[in-house]
Amino acid sequence: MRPIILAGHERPVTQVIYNREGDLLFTAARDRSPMVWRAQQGGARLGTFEGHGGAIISIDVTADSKYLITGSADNSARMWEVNGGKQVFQWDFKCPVSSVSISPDEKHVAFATSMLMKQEPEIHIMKFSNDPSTLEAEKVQSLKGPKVTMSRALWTGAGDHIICGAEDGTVRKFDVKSGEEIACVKEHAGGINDLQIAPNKVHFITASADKTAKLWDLEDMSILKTFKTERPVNSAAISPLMDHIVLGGGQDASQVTTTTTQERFDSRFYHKIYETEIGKVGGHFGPINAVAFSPDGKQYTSGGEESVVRMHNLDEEYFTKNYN
Amino acid sequence: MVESRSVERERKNRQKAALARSIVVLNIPKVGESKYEKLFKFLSPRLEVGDLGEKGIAIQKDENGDTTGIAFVEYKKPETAMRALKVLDGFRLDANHRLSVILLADADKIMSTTETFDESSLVEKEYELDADAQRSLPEWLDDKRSREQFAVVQENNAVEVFWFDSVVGSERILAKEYWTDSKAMWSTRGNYLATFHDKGIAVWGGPEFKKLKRFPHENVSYAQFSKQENFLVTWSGVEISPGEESPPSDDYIDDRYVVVWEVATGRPLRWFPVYKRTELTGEEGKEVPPVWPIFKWSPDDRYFARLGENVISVYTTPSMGLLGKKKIAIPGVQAFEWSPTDPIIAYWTPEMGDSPARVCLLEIPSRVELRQKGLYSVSNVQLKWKEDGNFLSCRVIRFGKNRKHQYTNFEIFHMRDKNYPIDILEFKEKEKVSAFEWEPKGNRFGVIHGEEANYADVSFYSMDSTSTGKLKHIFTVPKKQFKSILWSPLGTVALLARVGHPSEATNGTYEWYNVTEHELIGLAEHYSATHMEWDASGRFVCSYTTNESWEADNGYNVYNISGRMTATVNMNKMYQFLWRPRPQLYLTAEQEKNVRKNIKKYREEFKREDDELKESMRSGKAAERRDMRLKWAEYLATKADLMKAIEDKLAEFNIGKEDDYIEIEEVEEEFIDIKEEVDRTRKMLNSDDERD
Repeated sequence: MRPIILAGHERPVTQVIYNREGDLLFTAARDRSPMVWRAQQGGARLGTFEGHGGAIISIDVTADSKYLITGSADNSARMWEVNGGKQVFQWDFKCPVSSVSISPDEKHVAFATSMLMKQEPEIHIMKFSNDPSTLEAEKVQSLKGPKVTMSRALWTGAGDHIICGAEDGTVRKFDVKSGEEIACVKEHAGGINDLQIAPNKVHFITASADKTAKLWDLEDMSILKTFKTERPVNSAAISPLMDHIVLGGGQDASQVTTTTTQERFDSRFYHKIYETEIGKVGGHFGPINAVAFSPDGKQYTSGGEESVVRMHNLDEEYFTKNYN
Repeated sequence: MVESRSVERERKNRQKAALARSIVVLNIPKVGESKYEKLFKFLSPRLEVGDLGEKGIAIQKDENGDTTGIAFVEYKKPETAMRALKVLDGFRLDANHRLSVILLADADKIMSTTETFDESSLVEKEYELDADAQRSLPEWLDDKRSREQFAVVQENNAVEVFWFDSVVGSERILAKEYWTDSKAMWSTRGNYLATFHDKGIAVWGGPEFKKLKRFPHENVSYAQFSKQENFLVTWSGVEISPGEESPPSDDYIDDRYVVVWEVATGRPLRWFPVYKRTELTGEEGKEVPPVWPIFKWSPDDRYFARLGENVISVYTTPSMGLLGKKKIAIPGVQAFEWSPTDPIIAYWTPEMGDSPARVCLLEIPSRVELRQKGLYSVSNVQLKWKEDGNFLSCRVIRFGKNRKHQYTNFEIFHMRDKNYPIDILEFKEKEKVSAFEWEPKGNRFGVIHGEEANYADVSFYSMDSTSTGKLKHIFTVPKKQFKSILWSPLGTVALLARVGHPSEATNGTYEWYNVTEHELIGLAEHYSATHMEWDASGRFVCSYTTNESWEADNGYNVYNISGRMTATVNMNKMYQFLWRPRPQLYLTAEQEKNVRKNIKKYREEFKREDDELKESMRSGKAAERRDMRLKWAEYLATKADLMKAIEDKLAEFNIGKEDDYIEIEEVEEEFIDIKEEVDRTRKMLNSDDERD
């Protein structure tokens, strides 16, 4: 498998996402420029979104791929035209925005703001519209739960709930209408670095600094599977096609300086049902911060601390192999 | 049978204990019957240095009722007897009577010693304490599939013991969380597992690892089993200043002292203060880590010795007394090592005045100097015995002519030849020798040497155990970055490794060589490894990463003798990996030869067994996985309605329908050829390399 190397970012990559069709790949990094790439045909860079004054921590894209929303450490979230890269709207907050998620009906967007200067971390449910000319910065709900930064706060299922993972290792579920926290489960011994919802919308996976990833039932918040590694897990994604998951990780940020000179940061594939490791893909020379499967499951992308994004078209053998 | 044996042993132990508690006092005044009372009254208070035992004080009388000049004293505790020895020996009763005291245990030995020295008496008279355990095959060596055991200490101070199994995966025998407060260790011959606790050492054994004995020693940090594991030495690591000693007492053991215990009974036999070396040497303010082990044991457990300033103190067991009641004075002695097979101590002393540095062989207990070799311009000497006691190598580091450079040569003593002749191996000036390792079986050794800082040659040499002058270079593996040579315990295969800290470049690279064939037979990498160790049988070698050295990537890899990985296990936190040691080979030379002859037959048998096992495991695992898949499918079925409901609702939203699509081709604003991207990455990689 020859990866396609997307070298455009200049700082550690923070999130990679595909659009619904899987022909576009959006990447965010600690530099100020989110980027969009062609997910096929050689991975050409289509454009960058210039304007933020701080690191980009989280991104989301509308289902029609018209608009990208970005959350930044510059205390703002912005809406961009994918076609042309023009900023069309801006939300301002008092704190860095750590997570962006558009509701399934695209009538709202959830922004998680992190803790800074005595501001409590909060999930802001803001009005959203696919027509930026009619858009106003209007908060319709405020969700407060963990007293630490939330790494992800995502709409679930049909959009009734928000699920969030936080640095204290808790996973919480909120009812958006009432604003109530309806579940708070601590199953991880370390902070949650990533949370992704399964393509089937009934599971989600958490990646934790406790060196594990866990597969959850969204409905009753129970743990279905645990995937153990020997390094902190920064990101985890569920394959839409195979019974596989992919994990990316490496050392804690505080340990990165002691990293050895040898290349040893692998994306690791685990069997979702057996919980056993089935393969590794090397290449990164820094910890892997973000992984994502394409919607068809034939491709996956990883983004590293060393700022490189690697896009992998999985080999034929990967799909035909007997994993039993 | 078993019972009577244990009764017999019990009786012997009791007898031995009584011996250790008693002293013989010589040179007391000889008096007639009439003065006996007076003498007894006079002596008693002096001899009673602690609580007396059953038999108390007995002054020997001859058939006429006259005292013979000898008295026996039995104390309640062996420690008291030890103290009596110290206090009373040399005590002057009056102008004509200076007492002489020996331990009854020693007297027993002295009496049984014949006039002529019979060497066999040393060999045959094994220390009986654990004789049964030594002769019967312990159950863990009796495994049908001859597997090895190992222990790991991991998260939550859990100690786990496994059968290592390269065929079907290791089998856990037992696991207990918080089984230790810090670490665990196997005894020298593998019969016991010792765990460290804040309050002392616990020793476990038998098939179920039952607790056998406790050795209370507050804050113990160090422990050492003697070679035959009859004794255990514990220490907290605290060094004290002279004058800080606690007053002598029978029932109080200072926790700061190093304590020698009898493993079988759990009794403390003797304890010693460890003095601060900084104060002794006058180098104040310099923190030096404690020297451990403090004692070095003779191969038969009869003696243990300690290095002091200008002395080596040799103690005898079980009396715990100084050999010959005197330390062996050796001006300037720097280091010493026991022969692994014989009661011989090798030591070296530096140059002093006009006399050269010396390496000496000293026979114990006779203190006869068997051989000495004078050396000039010596900076340092490192002594290394070959495991079978056939050779002693001395790595001698010398100053060059202008004292700028140092150079190394090896003086190798032939221990089985008359007069202990010496072979010499010299290296060029400037050449550094970073490792020297004897092949455990066979007559070869490997040396890592070189002038450069990062690259060194690994050379193998052979020699003849029966005659000198046959030291021969076999072959050299040039320009490697290895730092250690790990011989298989069976010999022939040498593993070259660089293993230490994962942050070092090329850490965790290994090459296996068949030294007989001069051939590279295997390669492996385990970049994050911090340790590497062969199992006792020489079939497997394990590279592992412990939490103390490296926080991430904890776990172990096991390779076979040609470097093929047979197991890899990751753990969140692993603190120790410990192969269980084995006692020496039980087979006779004849039996061993037989095994070699029929190796083909055995190999086929074992292979068939392994294949059968693999097959049954495969079908078992397949069944297990089928089960997991079925369960998962069942579970997903319970979610089907929910999935459908979500899907329907999402469809209602009608988000991103066909006519909303945009043609992406039009938005291209920037196009960078992918080739260029690849080049850039390569450049980044390269510049990164240069930086390092």
